[in-house]
Formats: sequence, structure tokens, C-alpha cells
Amino acid sequence: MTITGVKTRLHPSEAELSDYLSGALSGDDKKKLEDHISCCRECLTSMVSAYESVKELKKADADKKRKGQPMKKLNIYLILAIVSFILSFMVQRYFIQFLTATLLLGIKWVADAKSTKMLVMIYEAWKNGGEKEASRILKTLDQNPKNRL
Amino acid sequence: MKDERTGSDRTIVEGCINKDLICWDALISKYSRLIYISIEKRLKKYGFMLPPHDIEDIRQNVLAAIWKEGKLKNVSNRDDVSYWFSIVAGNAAMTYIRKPEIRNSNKLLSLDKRKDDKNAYDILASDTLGPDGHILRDELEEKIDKYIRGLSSNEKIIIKLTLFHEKKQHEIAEMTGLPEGTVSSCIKRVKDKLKGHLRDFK
Repeated sequence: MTITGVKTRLHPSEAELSDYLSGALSGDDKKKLEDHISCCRECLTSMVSAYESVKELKKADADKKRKGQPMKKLNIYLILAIVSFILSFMVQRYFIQFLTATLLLGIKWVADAKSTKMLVMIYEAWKNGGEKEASRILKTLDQNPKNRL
Repeated sequence: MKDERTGSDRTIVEGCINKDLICWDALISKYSRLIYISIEKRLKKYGFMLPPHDIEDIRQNVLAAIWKEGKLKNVSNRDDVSYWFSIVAGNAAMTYIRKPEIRNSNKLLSLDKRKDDKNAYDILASDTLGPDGHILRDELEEKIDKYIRGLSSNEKIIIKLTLFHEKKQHEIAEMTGLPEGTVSSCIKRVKDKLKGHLRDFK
């Protein structure tokens, strides 16, 4: 620690340095440690190095987590349907053509939606195996949280 | 189901103190990578690097010491032990490179100049940050030290973190626990004061 800015040989413990970094040190203990690290290159370097390492690891973990969760698929059909609908009013000459395209893209968007796919699955199951089969499919879907609507 | 003993840092640390092997496994899987990164980073700070198997040796030694010597008992803030692990690993790296068999071998490489004429121990003993390029930094640090002598401890820390460790304001605020505004105004004030004195180094 330091006495009026003069560096002494007594370095703070690893626990004291880590407490300072995690904000767990306060009052006199914090002041004493600050007096020391302000004059001790070794301790300041140790502290900076720990801060950078922890930060690097947290960043790597966050990146890994982000990569593990793929971005929600952008619904291209819905966007195209909207664009086509807007264009049908802007380009009067091709009004019918754009409106038809809007309709087709809209149908594609609805058919492609997860909820529609599930409804079709349930309907097919009901048609083939009756209520028993339909409720079995529903139960299976309900067990997997990813499939919830 | 997740074991309750391996949930938070506190339960893991307390479990390890009581020699619980499940907690020990959890601790290793959680902090092994951090220990490795910390060893590499601390060596880099002093301008050195070691082969991966040597870093692995240091990591094993750190973990063995923590288990055998019950070092975790010394940790006061058990809710977040990541900084503690990092500091312990960094210190172990410094102890390792000071060993005679390491300093006399060619394992220890300088990042600035791989085959430096100087022995790594000489550089460490003289407390320089590494060969050639770091010497100027030492001179600069000495000069700055002279001019910031009258400042408070916090101001000195802020200036050193800015000038020698290239830390951004928000990082300094995070490290010191000071508000970012205080850090910002301190940097501006001291830099203005230092400008005139440090012209030779521009």
C-alpha cells in the first residue's frame, strides 16, 4: 500500500483487486487500494489484464450464443405482397397484374406460415385417424415449446 | 434437471471449499477458458508469449493449487469470482516465467522481437514492459508520473488507464466504479495540463 504517494512493497491481495473490479470494495479499503494501484504499475497491469480477459470471454460467449440462435427467417412473401400491392396503385397500367401477384404472394405467405402448416397437419390427422389421432398430434406439438403458436 | 449446487458462483465456490466434486467440475467447465485467456493476456501485457502446452501447464497448476491449497477460502466476494480467477491466473503466469528453467530456455518469446539478445529474465528484473519498443513507454510513464504527482489517486488511475492502457471512458468508469462524467472531465483537465509537458514525445 502507499503512504502519502510513496509506493511500498506490500501489494494488495488477489481478492482485494478482484473485489475492487467487481465493485465490492468500499470506504477505507477502496481508498487504500486506489492509493496503491495509482502508483504500482504491476497491480494496475494485473487489474487491466483481468478486466480485459473477463470482457473478452463474455464477448466470446455472447457471440457464441448469438450464433446458436439463427435470425428469425424474414418473411419474404409478405414483404413482396405488400410491395406488389403498393405498386398496383402506383403503376395504374399493370394494376390487375400487380393485384394478382399480391394475391398469389399472399396465398404463399399464408400457406408457408408455421401456424397454417400445423393446422393442415391437424386436419390431415383428423381426416385419417379421427379425433384420437388429431388429439395425439396436438399433444405432441404441445410438448415441444418451439412448436407453440 | 440442473443441479442446484452448480447454479451460481457462490454455490459453486462454497461447494468447492467443501471439496464437492460436482461443484469442482462445474467450476472447471466455467472458468477453465478464462484462466487460459488470462494467462495469455497477462504475458502479452509484458510483451511475451509461451507455447500452448506451457500455458496449459500453468492452467493445470492454477487449478491444482486452488483445489489443494483451498485458495477459494480467501475469496470474499463469492457472487462473482471471474476477476479473482483471472488475477490468480495472471500472477501464476508471471511466477512461471520467472522460473530459472523457463527464463533460461527458449520457450519464452518476445512479441516485439522473437530472438531478442536480452535474456527474458533481465527484462523482467529491470521491470520494463519488454524490449526496445517499450522503453520509450517507460520514459514517458516516468515523465507523466512526475507531472501527475499532485493529483488524487483516482485521477492518477484514470490518466494511467487512458494513456498506458488505452482504455475508453466507459471502460474506466466500469473498472473504477466512477461516473463516466467524472472520468471524462478528469481526462480533459489533466490532458490539457500535460499537453505542454509532453511535446517531445509527439
